Amino acid sequence: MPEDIAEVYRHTYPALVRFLYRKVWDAERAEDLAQEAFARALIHRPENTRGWLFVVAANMARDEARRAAREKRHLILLKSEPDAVYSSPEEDIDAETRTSRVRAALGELTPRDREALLLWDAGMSYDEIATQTGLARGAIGTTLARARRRLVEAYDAGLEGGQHVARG
Amino acid sequence: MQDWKEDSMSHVDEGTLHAYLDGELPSAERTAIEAHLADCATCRANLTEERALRERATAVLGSARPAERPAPPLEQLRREPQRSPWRVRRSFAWAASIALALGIGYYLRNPAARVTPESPAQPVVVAQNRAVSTQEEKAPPRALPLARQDSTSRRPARADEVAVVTERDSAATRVARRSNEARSHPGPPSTVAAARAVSWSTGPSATPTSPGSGSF
Repeated sequence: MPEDIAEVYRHTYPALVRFLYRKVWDAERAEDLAQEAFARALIHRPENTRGWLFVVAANMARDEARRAAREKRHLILLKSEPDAVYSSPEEDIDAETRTSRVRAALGELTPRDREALLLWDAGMSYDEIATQTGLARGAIGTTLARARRRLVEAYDAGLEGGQHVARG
Repeated sequence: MQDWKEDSMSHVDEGTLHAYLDGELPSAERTAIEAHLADCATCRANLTEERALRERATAVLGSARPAERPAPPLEQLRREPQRSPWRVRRSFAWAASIALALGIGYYLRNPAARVTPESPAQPVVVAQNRAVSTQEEKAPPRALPLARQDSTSRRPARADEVAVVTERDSAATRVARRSNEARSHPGPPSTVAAARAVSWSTGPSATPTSPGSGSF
């Protein structure tokens, strides 16, 4: 079994970090949570490691979001320093703007549509998404079609809004 | 067999088109869809549209991704399941250095602050020895035994032990110079000046004490 987890770890770790990043929007935190999920998998040895990992990760991200919301109330009074940056300021502005637009667009989706889309993007199959979300397998295509359309529309709307603000 | 959903115009619905594009349709259903697409221009146009939407959504989502960094070895997670091991080790190192710094500070400060009335001559004598030893470079061995004798004979001479430890540093010459100055100004401050000279020479962890300050 440990060999199996090692294999899953090698293939799934980046996808799990990406999945978590789009929930907590902090790269380091996403890595920490992904590592913690794998550490738990090493202890619990689940049957379906990959599926189990994404369930655990989604739960951890939800707890994290609740905690972040609580902390935000305190931090709002303090002028915090910008998040750690790894590249040049010019690139960061672009990357940050882009990320915040995607984040806002994802926020326009229903939780179920968003979850299905993020799981698909993390490399899950329709069967796995159905198990994870409780949706019927036959409904996954429709859910993803709706989620994709909504994401693109919301992103483009945000882009236009941003341009108007920039022009005004 | 046609499992895929058709609308009133007998066209393939978008959900099925997305499942087709995602490669998630069972092979029989896939074959049926392809047969329909070959005959239906509307569905072909829809397919092109949905394909573009799918690619666009993937690109949008892909533009918000963290920089991929290599995963730490799985073994590390096994040992330290709760937190990133590097962070734990780093914080432990910090705690250890602070504890060490405080310990050294406490050790250096106390003897100077607790100089008993019978021992004021001690630091001055040793400082003199130190001055002699640095001025006459050929005779450092003489100074060492003297200092050791002092430290073993009486407890307050602990500051001397520290002076011996720091003797090899370049700061030792400063100690000598300072204690020379202290010697040239006779009176009670000489004790404090010598003690200070010792603590300065040992670095920032031993912050100089004000003459009037007591122990912690």
